[in-house]
Amino acid sequence: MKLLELHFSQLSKIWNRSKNNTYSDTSRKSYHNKLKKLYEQLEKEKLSLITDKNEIKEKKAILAFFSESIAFLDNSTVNTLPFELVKCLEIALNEWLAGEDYIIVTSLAKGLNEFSFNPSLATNYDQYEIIRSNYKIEFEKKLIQINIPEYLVGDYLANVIMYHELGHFIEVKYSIPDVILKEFLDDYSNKRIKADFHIYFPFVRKRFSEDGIYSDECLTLLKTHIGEYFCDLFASQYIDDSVNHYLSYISEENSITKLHPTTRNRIKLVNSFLNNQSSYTLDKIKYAIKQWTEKDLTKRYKVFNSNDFIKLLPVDIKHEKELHYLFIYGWSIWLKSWKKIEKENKMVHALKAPKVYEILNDLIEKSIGNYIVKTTWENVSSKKANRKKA
Amino acid sequence: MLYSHSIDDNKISLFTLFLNKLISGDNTYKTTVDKVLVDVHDLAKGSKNLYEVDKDKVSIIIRLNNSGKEYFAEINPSKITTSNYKRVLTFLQG
Repeated sequence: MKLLELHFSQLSKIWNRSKNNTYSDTSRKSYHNKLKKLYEQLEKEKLSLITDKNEIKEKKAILAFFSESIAFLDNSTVNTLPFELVKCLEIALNEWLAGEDYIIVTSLAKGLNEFSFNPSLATNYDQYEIIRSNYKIEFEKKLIQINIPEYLVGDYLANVIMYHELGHFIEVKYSIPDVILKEFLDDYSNKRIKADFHIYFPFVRKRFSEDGIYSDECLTLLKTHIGEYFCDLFASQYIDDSVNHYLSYISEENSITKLHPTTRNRIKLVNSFLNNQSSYTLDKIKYAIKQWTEKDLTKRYKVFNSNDFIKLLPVDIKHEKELHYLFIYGWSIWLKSWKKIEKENKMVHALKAPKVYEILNDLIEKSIGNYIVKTTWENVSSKKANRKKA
Repeated sequence: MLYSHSIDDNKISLFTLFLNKLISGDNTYKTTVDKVLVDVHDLAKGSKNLYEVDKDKVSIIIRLNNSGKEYFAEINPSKITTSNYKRVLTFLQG
């Protein structure tokens, strides 16, 4: 099969450029070494002689896995990984997938709104089974790729959206829309659907009355919109309503698309969640999530009381859950008057927005960075102490 | 959400590959496939509810259950045969 050879040639080109990558941590390095082993196996294959269509499909899946993996890792080398942000996302991820091994990698996109998430390597376990059965290579850790606009790396106000993107990983990993949709469809067929369902999914009544809800088009729309609502709720567990500020600015309030519900409805659902209000749709989503993941949708950040950013000092973070609150704290300062900062620091001139933007982002980054250094040091010290005791 | 559809397609595509290998006599992926079919059987019979099936395969399980609930309720979970695999393939392609 000559096209398999073309595919292999393409990935050889990428590998030759990337094989000497250096990473800031052992898990990425170890993954890279597994890829090296896989490459050596693929190199021995006589791909052009394969004619069995099932075998072609297997090799194609392995080659695609390899190319995708190295493309992900390429953007997460020691010089490119925004590790302060990734640390916050890892803490959130560990709450939902404790005991499972994932590595968050980032890719830099050119567009300013190109926040997205690629779950292809982290959610389809069959590709790992194919690699295992063909080459006996085990990738214990799976890569999760998050795409960040290149120009917004270090912009912690805009990067609250990354919590929403992480939600997409959880959503796909657990097939959350499938499960919530089944709950809604069961209620629909048993005439238990309540009025507010039609507020959040208005297209059902407008375009798909009665059995129309079961059409492929409607089911796809429902699943997509359920997924977005879930990711909004997921993010708000960690950064409260911070995404709403940015979302309401970059999107149209009443525009409904194939990919997203209206911004108005998204904000409405998040606000009712944050205010502990009850509604049929919200309660049904919370119930299904609890049943399926054994996790509650609940506020997962820890509030700290601080005036440090006003004094232009980083916050001394005491608990990892306070890291999420840094984003909320940053937004609260951005949205208020900056007179306090000017007064506290005896500034002669009025602060301009680009300066405040720079200060806030630096302070958030330093606060996270200091926490990482402190906890890493504490871990090393306690390991040393344990070794001495032993 | 840009990727959910393609991820589902990708999952179905590899699961279809596993079925085709089984039909051709290669049992490499039999354990994986049979585990899914047993879950669909249990769901169809009502001996498991949705929240008890394999989380990583739930989209395939729901799809098979929706398209062939009566068929899956009748299969013998301890003796899944090539003809079962052929029928499963038709549900996925339908």
